[in-house]
Amino acid sequence: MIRRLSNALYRWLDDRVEISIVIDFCLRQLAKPVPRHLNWLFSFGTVTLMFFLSQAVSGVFLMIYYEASADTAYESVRYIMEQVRFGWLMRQVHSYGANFMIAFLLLHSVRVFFYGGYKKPRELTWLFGFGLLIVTLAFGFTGYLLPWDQLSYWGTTVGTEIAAATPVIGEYLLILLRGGEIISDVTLTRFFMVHVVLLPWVFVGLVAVHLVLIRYKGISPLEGTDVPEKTPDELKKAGGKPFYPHHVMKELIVVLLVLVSMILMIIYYPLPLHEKADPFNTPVGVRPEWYFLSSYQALKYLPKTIGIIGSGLVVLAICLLPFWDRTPARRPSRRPVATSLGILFIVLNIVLALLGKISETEMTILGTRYHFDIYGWPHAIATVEEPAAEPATDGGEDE
Amino acid sequence: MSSTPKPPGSAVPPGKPRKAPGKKRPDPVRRRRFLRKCLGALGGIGFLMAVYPLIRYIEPPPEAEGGNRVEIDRDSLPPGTSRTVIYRGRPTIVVNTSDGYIAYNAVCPHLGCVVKWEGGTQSLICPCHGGKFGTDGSVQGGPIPGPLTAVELSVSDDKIIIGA
Repeated sequence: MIRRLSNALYRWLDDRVEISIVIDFCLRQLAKPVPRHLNWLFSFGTVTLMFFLSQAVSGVFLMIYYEASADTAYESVRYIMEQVRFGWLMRQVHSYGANFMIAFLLLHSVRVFFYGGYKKPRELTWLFGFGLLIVTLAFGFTGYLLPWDQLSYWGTTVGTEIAAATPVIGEYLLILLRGGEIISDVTLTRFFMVHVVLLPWVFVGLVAVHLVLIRYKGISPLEGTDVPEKTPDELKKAGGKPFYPHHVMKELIVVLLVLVSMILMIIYYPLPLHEKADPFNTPVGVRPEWYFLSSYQALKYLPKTIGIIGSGLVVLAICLLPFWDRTPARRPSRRPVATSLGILFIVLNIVLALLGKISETEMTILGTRYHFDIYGWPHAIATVEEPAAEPATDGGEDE
Repeated sequence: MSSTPKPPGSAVPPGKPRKAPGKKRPDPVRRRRFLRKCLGALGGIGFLMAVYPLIRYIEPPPEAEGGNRVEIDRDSLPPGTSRTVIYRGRPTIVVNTSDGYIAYNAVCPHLGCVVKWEGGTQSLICPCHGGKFGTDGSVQGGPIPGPLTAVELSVSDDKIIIGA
């Protein structure tokens, strides 16, 4: 019955708008073989896209109850979490989803870098992908403020402060970003608008071009750019499997595993809503979200202007990577300099992020209490006595 | 299942059909088709599991349906005046009439407008289409299909309590 109805609808549409041309094209695309070297790492892009869709759905649902005003934003988020049925789930899916989306986008970029996927003739795919990375980070930055709790308020304060270090226009840029001297109601509404209207449209546009380019040029081979690329028939003969259902199934499995991990994290480590933002009371050890932590920490070691120009140049270098790295080799083992530099860059970022994480905290290591200063260097401040020697005291660690 | 050796001569001769002619064999359920069906069923369950919280989410939250008990200070409602409050999610009108306090669901049964108290005529008036109700909630005029619904009310020393 359903099959008959859908066949009739298909014929009706085909008579009028020749839908078969589009469907045949899509089916041909789905059947296109993908190279043999495609492994599980090649599903990170799909996972990122899935998270974008999940963010769009949960975001739309959150907007039903969220109120973008400094007076009510915090209360509305609390209301969603405590009163609305499954509101806690919706908010956790959105908050965790943001972190997962950025993590998988970074993993996807790293994968493309090491497999040389950005090289000729796929420079445009890389450029649009880079645009997606920037938009996603902007999503994270603008969305972080919206719950209007102490952490989001002060995290955004230090985050926007970085813009002030831009030469010449820094101060003006800061006021433009914040809509005033400090983060206020005005900042919240403009961040909200950018987060829910501007960025989603830009993202959809960029991702559409990115996907079309991937399908058009095919998955990047492992051979160098000086070797002619295989046609679909040659790929098939060389052991390539069709994109659907083989690779799609692989991607679905990864998507499911990631979703299950996220649900487990939501259940066991739910993200908290802190106290309401207080513009007159800065909490200790304010830092931005983990994905901005390495650049935030790097800026501490450098004079502000040099730091901001330096990070700008690094970002530009990543964006224009296909244009200055024009060596033909794609296999990581055939381009040791690029591979080593890539690994070094990743390790540097992880170290900086960790230093940023522990800076301005205290920790007891092997019986000594250390204070980590803003640079992340430890300073011994006390020797903690063994709990066994002093059974009745709890205040021994208090400084 | 262990296969027992067949006695000599019991093998089906080549060319002879295994089944009696006319008896149609059912289509074998192939592994791929079976897996595809399982996958479809799992997908369906997953879809329902995702949709259920979404539907529950957009239903009015319990708190938004209004309290089961609303209290008004008697001082705030002098004789001949009225006040409209939200009780169980619906506008409810409380009037201090000469015969005592009355409370009705203020939604007009005609087209859902909210009725008002008119002290001069001692009646409740719907401003949308001119419906008119008496202090007992009965229809006194206008295109109204039925009376107003009374709401339970009690009075203490200083409070008017709507709802039990």
